[in-house]
Amino acid sequence: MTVGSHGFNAADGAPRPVLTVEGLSVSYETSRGTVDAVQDISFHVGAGETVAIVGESGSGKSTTAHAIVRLLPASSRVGADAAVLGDVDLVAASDAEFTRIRGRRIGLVPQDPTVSLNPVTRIGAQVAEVLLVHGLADKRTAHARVVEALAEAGLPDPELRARQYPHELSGGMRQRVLIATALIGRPELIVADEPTSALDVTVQRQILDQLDRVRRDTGTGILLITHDLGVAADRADRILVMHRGRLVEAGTPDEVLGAPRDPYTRRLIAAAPSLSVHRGAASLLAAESQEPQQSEAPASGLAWQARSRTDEQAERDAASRPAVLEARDLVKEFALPRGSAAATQRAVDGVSFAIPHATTLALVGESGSGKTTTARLALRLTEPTSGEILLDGEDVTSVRGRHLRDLRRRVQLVQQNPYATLNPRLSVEQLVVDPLRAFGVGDRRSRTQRAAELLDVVALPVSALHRRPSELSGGQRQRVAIARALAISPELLVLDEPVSALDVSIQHQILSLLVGLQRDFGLTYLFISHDLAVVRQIAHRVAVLRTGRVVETGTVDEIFDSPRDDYTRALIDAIPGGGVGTTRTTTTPTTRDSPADLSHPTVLPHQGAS
Amino acid sequence: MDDVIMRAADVLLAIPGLLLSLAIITALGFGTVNVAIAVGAASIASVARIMRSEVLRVRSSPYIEAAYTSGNRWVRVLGRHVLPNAIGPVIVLAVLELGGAILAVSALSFLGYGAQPPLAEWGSLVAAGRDYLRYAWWLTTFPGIVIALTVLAANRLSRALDSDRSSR
Repeated sequence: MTVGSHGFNAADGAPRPVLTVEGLSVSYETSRGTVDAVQDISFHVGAGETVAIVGESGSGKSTTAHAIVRLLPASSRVGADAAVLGDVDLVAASDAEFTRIRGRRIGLVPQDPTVSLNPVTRIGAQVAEVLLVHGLADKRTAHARVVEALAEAGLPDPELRARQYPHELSGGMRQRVLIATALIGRPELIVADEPTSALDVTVQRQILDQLDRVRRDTGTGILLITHDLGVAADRADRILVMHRGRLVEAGTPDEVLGAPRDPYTRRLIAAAPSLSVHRGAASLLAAESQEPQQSEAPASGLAWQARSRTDEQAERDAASRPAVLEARDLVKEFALPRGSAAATQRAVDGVSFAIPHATTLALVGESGSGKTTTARLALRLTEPTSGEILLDGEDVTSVRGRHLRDLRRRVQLVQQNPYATLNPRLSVEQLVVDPLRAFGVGDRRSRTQRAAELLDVVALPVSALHRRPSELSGGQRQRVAIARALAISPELLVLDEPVSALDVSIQHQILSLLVGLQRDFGLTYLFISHDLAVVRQIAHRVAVLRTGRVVETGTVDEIFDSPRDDYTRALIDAIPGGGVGTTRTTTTPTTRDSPADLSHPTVLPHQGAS
Repeated sequence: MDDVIMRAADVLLAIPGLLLSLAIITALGFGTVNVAIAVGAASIASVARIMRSEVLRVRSSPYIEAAYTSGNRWVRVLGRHVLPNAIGPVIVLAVLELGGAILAVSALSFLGYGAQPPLAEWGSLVAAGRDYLRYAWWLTTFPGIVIALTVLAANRLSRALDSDRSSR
């Protein structure tokens, strides 16, 4: 087992460096002048070592990775005092020399496996390409090497996979194919650019385990680019923290997470949900009630604050009132294309839940678990095949016309990707008052005033009223989306992965905002998420979904402290960052019959302690 | 409904535009307005196609779902959220088609289907001058140059609109 605490001084017997970078700077020429994306970065990666570069979007971490493999757009300018890979000077290398280095000496694992494979070429041919272009094998011998590499990357049935096309493989399998492609040329260095950001947590863990195994077996150095401090803490021997193009902190995980020197690192650690789960003090709900002055909402003077109430009132109400939203045996079947084995597929299969007033129920599950479909059913955006939806005890399963519009007034939605959920042609003011106009509430002046109030509630400056979505950052856009959802004072907000597209520190702000709004206005939330760590921060109750069924429900503490279902346990175990502050193990063995592994028929052998 | 319209558009696309215009104009009779109608009818199909694909694209965006959950009625979603976002490429195409239409109208009036003699028209000017090409070349050349320049200008305008739209 590799231990993260060894020094990286040659005198200490540290591994020989495969990559040494000194004084790397990258700038982009844009129409508005030169933008410095990376400034004066120095680091090295040793053989058999994992070095993680951590940072938020725009920090320059991917630019650094791409600069090393020289895959930056033409508008970029790269400067470095030294960049040495083994015996090759990467600064002096010509483009032709670089073509021989890529794939052969540096393997690249790209971010999104769903778009990184050529859809019309068989897997085997794509992996073999590396061998063929570098003359490492001819067509006859390549096949055997490909199958071997696919097996090494942890793909079950490598012979079969080599004959398949990318669309026949799941996201996790495709990422393994890309890992096979990266390692087949036996490179000294693998650059993994957010290799698991597009994958489910349980798959993420398998992929990272696989990378660890490859590194141990082949002695390859890994440069891991990630936004997730938890992943970095679990996997890296050293962590480099980047902020606005500069290296603000470097050290072993214990040093960086245990005693961060830079204020930015401290902020990042505080915001990282995956780390706080393991720290114990996870829920923002508790944190908020201790610091009520942290409220981001104004305290008085608004007509719609009639709904605002104290905790006691809320409790009394909750006891006497029916659940705000109740689902009974919801079933949704989708028709499959003709020729499939079955005529329909059940996306949601008998889901029941109830959300009491002013609480948050989190629906958790991996992709394909039916959580978003359930949310759409609750919003009446799709019709359930069977089952009932009750709003305040009233059956709304089949209401239409005027009654459906009444329902829209009481239930609002905040969607996943704030970059796509705001009409790009409208100003922020128009966006926020859109529900008011739709329901004919107030006149033009009162609506404008209301828009300003709402921006205040979501902690945006009033000057944002006349901006367009394209001028706002992701976090600001999500605030606009929340303001729009609040405009007509709904009782229930359906939050469909509201923070999954945002950076951790922004995530933290938005979650705090949501908790504050719930407290101030007695809102009820149905919170959809794949991220258990986020759920722990905001939810009162959790329902775990798997293939359209609820496998477990309970309060947050019940679910996290004593999960009854194996799947829930596998999900919780897969949250990265578990190794921090405890004995660092590369892998926590999963339960033998953990259902999370069922999607991969051959359960990978988990290595024991070395 | 969608199927019917799109199959009709397919049929229209299958017939060469100028031939279709000729057929329509022989049915309606000669004249400036009739030429305009004939040329317009020939370009219905491509505009319909673009409009449809744009609307389908915009309709599946998350902000349309957001508009519905905000309580907007169907007509309002269409008018305020779908149409403004879908109209861009159609306008670009319309400007591009303007150049094509000028060319088609000129071609038709060159053949004598357009404005009748006392009225002047670029195509008929070219036609009228072609008998005197050896003695007075400018009679045909200048209207021809004007036609070419106008069409090129429309093209340029369309491209400018397109890049302006996609840069936003």
